[in-house]
Amino acid sequence: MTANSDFEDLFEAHYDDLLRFALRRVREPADAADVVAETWAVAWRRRDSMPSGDERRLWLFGVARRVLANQARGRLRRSLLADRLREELATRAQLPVEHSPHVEQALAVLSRADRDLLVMLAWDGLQPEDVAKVLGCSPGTARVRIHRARRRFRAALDSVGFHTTYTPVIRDARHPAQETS
Amino acid sequence: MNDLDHLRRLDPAAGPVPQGGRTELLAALSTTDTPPRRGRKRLVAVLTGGFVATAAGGSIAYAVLSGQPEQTALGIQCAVTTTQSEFDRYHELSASMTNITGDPVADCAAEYARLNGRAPSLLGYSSGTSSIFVIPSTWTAPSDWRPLPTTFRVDAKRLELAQRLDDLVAGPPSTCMSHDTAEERIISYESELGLTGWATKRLPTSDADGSTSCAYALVDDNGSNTVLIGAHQYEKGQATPGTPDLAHLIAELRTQISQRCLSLEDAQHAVRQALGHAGVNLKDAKLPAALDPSARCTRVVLVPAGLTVIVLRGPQTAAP
Repeated sequence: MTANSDFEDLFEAHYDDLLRFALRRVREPADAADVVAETWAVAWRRRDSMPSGDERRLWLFGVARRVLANQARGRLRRSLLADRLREELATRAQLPVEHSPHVEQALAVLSRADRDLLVMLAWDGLQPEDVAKVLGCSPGTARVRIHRARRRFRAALDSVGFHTTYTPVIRDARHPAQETS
Repeated sequence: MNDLDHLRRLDPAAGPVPQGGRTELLAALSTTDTPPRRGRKRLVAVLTGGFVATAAGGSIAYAVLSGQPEQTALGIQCAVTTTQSEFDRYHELSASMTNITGDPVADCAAEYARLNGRAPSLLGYSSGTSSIFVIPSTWTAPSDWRPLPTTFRVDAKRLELAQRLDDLVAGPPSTCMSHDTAEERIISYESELGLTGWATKRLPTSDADGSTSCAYALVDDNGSNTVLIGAHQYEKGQATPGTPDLAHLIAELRTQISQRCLSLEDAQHAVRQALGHAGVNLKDAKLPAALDPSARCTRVVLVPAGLTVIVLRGPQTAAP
């Protein structure tokens, strides 16, 4: 990518996805504004070395993960670029989110790494090979880690009285986030 | 339903997302005079530091500025674990910096030596996002990290300002400050540090005049010389500095150091005493302290950083 219009296309195509990615991983919704702003700032600086095609979305998620990790390690960073979005996120009414205390309880006992994998699958709609790209590991490693994370999650669900079936995640071109049943 | 179906129903970001700020963000990025991968003359970074004093939550970061042509908002984090596996597993990156010379590799080497003995050869890397990592040169850096130029430097004054904004002894979070009071405190810090041309900006809040909430302050991480003032979500009276032990320690540091005029050595003694009263015995451990010949009295900063960071800066001889 070299032209600003290419970057604008990228921005328009993935802004919502990136904001959702951040919102799923911050404690306070307003904190997602800084994650989004910083991730896009990195993308802007690296626009000449960014991967092409569908890889861009996963690359952005990978950057966002590192931004989030840096936030967790350091203090919450604030950027003037994120002012407007932060204000809107801070003041908007909470979206109606379904609550399931038992599932939340099962999720809470997992490690952060396991939760991260499951969230990428269930909420971000990523496939195992996509997860590998976001994490920067091999697809095989990603599959093994996902398998183990899901096994632990199912065990945790069992322990709180939820009995589940297991269906492996496979790619379906028509519905990429779907699974076999 | 399978396991992921259960989880999918709880997605906190399903549905439309807010669009406020979207256009402004794109416009701001597109007009940034930043050639890809090269360019801006300043760099904002985050340098973590820590000193084990007593348990407390939270974390620390200092905003710092570089005069080098490497751009981007980055952090600097020192690896002080002896093995890469520990580093990978715990991300336990830092301990207190006894002095900031401006060279993050040298500073991290000094810190490593203080904690683990002789430091190995270290290298600094840009992680491509908001952090610089300083790690032993024998460790394998992730493929997307780029080596930092050896000329990379940080601005210690900017760093200290950011640190003082987090200070629980006298900084904005030391009590429930109004926004006006916090702004006055920030201006006095900038004056003491000789930082000129700085501005403050209030972040949007539902508590428009800052009368019902407590202020916090941060150095803007976009490289501008701006301190952002925001409002904590909690109401007045709810802000408490961690555990009672920590509150007691903070109070003692305030009365014994901040409200007196001590030399660096006397301040170190006062810190030892205060820590002893809090049940922390440091024996002969060296306290993080930096000689500041230009200061009349020693300044103490305490920041909760997971570990608690206590840093002293002061003169050899106090001049009350």
